Parts: sequence; structure tokens; C-alpha cells
Amino acid sequence: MGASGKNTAKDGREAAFMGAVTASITHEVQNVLAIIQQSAGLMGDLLHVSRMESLKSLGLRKGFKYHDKFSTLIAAIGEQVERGSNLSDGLNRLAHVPDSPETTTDLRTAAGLLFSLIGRIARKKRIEFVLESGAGGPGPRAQCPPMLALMALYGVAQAIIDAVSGCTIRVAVGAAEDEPSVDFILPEDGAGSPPIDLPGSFDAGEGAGSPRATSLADRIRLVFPPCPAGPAGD
Amino acid sequence: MEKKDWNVLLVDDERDFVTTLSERLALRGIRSRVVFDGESALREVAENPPHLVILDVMLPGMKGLEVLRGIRAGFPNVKVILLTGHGTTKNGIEGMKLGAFDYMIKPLDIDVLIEKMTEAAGGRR
Repeated sequence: MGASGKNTAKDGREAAFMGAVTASITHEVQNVLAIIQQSAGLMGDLLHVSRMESLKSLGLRKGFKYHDKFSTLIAAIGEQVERGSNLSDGLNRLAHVPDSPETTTDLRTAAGLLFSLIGRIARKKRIEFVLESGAGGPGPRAQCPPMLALMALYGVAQAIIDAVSGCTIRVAVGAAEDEPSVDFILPEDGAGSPPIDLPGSFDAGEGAGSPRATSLADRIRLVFPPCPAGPAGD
Repeated sequence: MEKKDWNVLLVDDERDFVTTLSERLALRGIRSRVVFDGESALREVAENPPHLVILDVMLPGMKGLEVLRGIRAGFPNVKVILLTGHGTTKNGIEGMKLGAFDYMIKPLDIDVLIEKMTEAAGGRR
């Protein structure tokens, strides 16, 4: 095995390790969130019981002074549990990407996953990526593995984050010249947008099969041509 | 059958989760027993067969799907609802193939759980 082959095997082991550990931890996080959720739920149940007993006693038994405040706090806990659960879900799905046997990728699903994971990175520059709703049903499929598609989407998103700030980037998944594509639509149709330094390549290989990003007047277009067949044994 | 007559067994090694869930069910008039591992679950089912088992898939030791197989083999009338995490939904789907009534993903909404329990107790599937 050559140096490149050894590196690939090492990278594969590292990716498998990271994936396995992340998947395990996200599972534990879901358990933690489930306990928080049920505990907050029980507090809410007991508050409700307390209020009902107070009403039944026609006011002889005083209600809990902070009932409304506690109800608001319990609702906030529920919202945060849902938020944490969505983040954990996204991280779990990402952790399973390296061992995915898929050779094609649903671009809408991949874009949704990516934006759920990099929301915090984007918010630091007050940028929001908004995935436009499609016509329903499955999105266009890129003829490349999920990790390559994710890395290409991330490459473009990061280039945009580096270049602009304080704006909404609409993202449309579709097809351009009969190839699956993702358009990152710049604010104000690109008027006044600074140049965006796009990555030259999204994987170790260049040329045919590698997703390619192009700057257009009002958008960055990421096109996914079919991937060439990998070398035997890949 | 009314909720108050349900005989429910909750199986999960996350003690705080499952005991709290049991208390919440009790406040809604549903009695439940709680065990924390698969071996105890099979013993409980054999000694006092419940109508419903709420069973976590990711148990230490004997896995949830093994417990499910044991219940289905010895007590086919006992309905089982599986609890899975987001990353283990394939276990839920596998469990459905093995005869589980349904599966739910944690964290779970108690009202949705009770809806599923009601369906299971009514034998709608």
C-alpha cells in the first residue's frame, strides 16, 4: 500500500472513530433531554393538579403564587429540549454519514442537515441560510456520496460566511443544465455583494465528478455532475 | 378496556426517565410497573403478563429487541411499544418487523404515547 493508500485507511479509521463516538454521545444526550423533558412535564402536571385542587376548594386552599411564572418556565424548558433534540439529531445523522453505503445524495436533505448544524457559525456573522421549500417529495439526487455533497455545500456556505454579513441567503435546490444543483441566492440579487472566494475543489480529486461552484450575478451555483467510478477496492 | 384497567410495564435503564414517566402516567389514571433491564422485564411479563410493555431498545445486557423476541414468543397478546433514539430508528423498524405494535423516538410527548397506548389497548392493529 502506498503513502496515499495508508493515509486513506487512517482517515477512514479516524472518521469511523469520530462517527462512532459522536453517535454514542448524541444517543446519551437524547436520554438526558428525555429526563429533563419528563421532569419538567411532571412539574407541569403537579402545578395543574395544585390549581385544580385550589379551584375545587373555592379558594379556601390557596393556589401556588408563582403558578404562571412556573408554567412559562416549564414551557421554555420544553422548547429548549426540542431545540437540543433537533441539534442532537442533526449531529447524530452527521456522525452516521461516513459509514453510509449511499452513493447518491438527496440534496435537499443534505442542505437541511448542513444548515441545522452550521446555524451557530452563520449567526456569528448575522447570516441566516433559508432553504426554499420544494415542490414536495424527494429532492434532486446528486450522483455522489453524502459526505462529498455535504463538504461541497459546506465549502460554499463557509465562503459566503467569510465574505458577507448581516443578511439572509436563500438556498434553492434544483437542476441546472440537467445536473442537480444548489443555488445560494445573494441578498438584493447580488447588488453590492463583495467577491466570494470559492473553493477550487471539494475533494482530493479534481475535474470530472467533483462538484463545482460558480459565481453568477445574483447567486453562487453549486453543480453536482456524476462522480466517476472510484478505483477498484474503494 | 379503560385506562384505569391497563396493566402496563415500563422497561428502561434510565431510572429517572422511567420513574418520572410512571408518575406522569399515574396522574393520568394509568398504573404502571417499572423495571430497569431486559431480564427483569421477561420475569415480570412471565409472572404477571401486562397488556402493554413500553420497552427501550438500547438496554444494557439483554437488548430491547431480544426482550421483544422473548415476549412475542411466549406472550403474543402482549403489545409492545418500543422507545428509540434518533440514531436508532432502524431498531424501531426492525422491532416492527418482529411484531412490536409501534415505536417512538425519545424525547417523547406523553400525550402521543398515551394515544399509541390507547390504540394498542384497543387492538386496532
